[in-house]
Amino acid sequence: MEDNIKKLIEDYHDGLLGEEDKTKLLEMAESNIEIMKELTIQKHIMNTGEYIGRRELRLELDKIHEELYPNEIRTSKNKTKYWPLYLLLAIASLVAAFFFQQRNVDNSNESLIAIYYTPMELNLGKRNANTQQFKELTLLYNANKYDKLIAEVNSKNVSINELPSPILLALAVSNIETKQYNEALLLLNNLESREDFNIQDEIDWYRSMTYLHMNNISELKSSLKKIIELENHDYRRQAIALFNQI
Amino acid sequence: MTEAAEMNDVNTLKNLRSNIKKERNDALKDVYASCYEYVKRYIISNNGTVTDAKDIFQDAIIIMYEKVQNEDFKLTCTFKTYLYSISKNIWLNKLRKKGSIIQLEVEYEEVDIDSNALEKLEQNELNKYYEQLLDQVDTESQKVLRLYYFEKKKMKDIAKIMGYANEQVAKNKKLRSLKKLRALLFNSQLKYLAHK
Repeated sequence: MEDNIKKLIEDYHDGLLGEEDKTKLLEMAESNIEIMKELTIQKHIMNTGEYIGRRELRLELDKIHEELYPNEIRTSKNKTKYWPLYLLLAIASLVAAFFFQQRNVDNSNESLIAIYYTPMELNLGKRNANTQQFKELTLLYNANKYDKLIAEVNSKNVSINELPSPILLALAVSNIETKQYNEALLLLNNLESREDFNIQDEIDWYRSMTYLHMNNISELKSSLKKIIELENHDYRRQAIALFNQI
Repeated sequence: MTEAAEMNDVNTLKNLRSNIKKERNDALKDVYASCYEYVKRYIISNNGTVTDAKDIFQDAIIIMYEKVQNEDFKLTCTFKTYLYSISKNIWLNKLRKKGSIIQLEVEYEEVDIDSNALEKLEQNELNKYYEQLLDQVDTESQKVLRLYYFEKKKMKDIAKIMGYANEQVAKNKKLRSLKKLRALLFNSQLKYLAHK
């Protein structure tokens, strides 16, 4: 095969050919089996090169993952190797849980709420703090006037989409305080859909706290599990402690 | 995007394209550390496991990395948002295939990903074939092929990275590697490949 055709095919795979040349080449390939073969070979040469790259990069990423999250990897890799240890730990946990339960039979969810739940502190960023409307809402929240805060938002007919995320979170907490748990969950879901990375951990925690107030143990457990699985979660320590007590 | 975040991302972008291995690795590590937890949270909240989160996130980094090597690539949002969007799309695709999309909370299509790119990441027949083929290719040739086709490096950069005397040596090495691979492809399953 002529070198210029080979070059044309190489350029085609490298994405360097214009539309006209591309069409010309593909027309030639349809009537010439040698060109078709060369097109196929070059396509697979390129794919092989890319495959090597992806394979090597995956290995590098595995190393990075192991370095950054050593416990996560160790847990999944050595599960089978250390099964006797896991069995022993499981038995020990059951025994501990049994004694713990005996000691804390009167551990109602009120006492857990008292231990684990505190309304968040509300400090608005500079930009939001300058707005009079948000200033008023912040003052009400910080003065524990949760009813008034909810009423204020409702009376002004403010769309929740217009509220900054910290205020919306404060509104959710106000709903927990006033025992309007389903409202609180709706607001937390709304907040989550905003994907504001700065308050994700608070959303998870106050969702768990809502379930704790509702005494909905199965939802509480599953929301705590999500927190526990995230190694850098701000509330992980509290979540583990609470999980062990329910 | 704030000015500081923008500067940081410009720097990361530059380092992901760097010819210096350490700079490249450090950039990968930074991106990994700053985004993984968010993706993990999303996957776990949407019927996934920790292992799914790790696999999906790494797929997203590989797709992002390939795109970044193209000099025309421009980042229009932060790396965090970009990787998060790719991860979501990959996860949506997987759930769609499994038929469990209805349970998802939000549809999210901010960053389009080529379905071809996803297919290339799967453990399919073709990738297994490439793996067998590469057993017969020496490490040096594999490195040159990776640099040329995956990292999209120019011959003068390949010469620098591989420590060759000049660009011409790199060109010769590449030609030799291609010749070897071409022969292997011809000798093995050309008929099979023609239908792929």
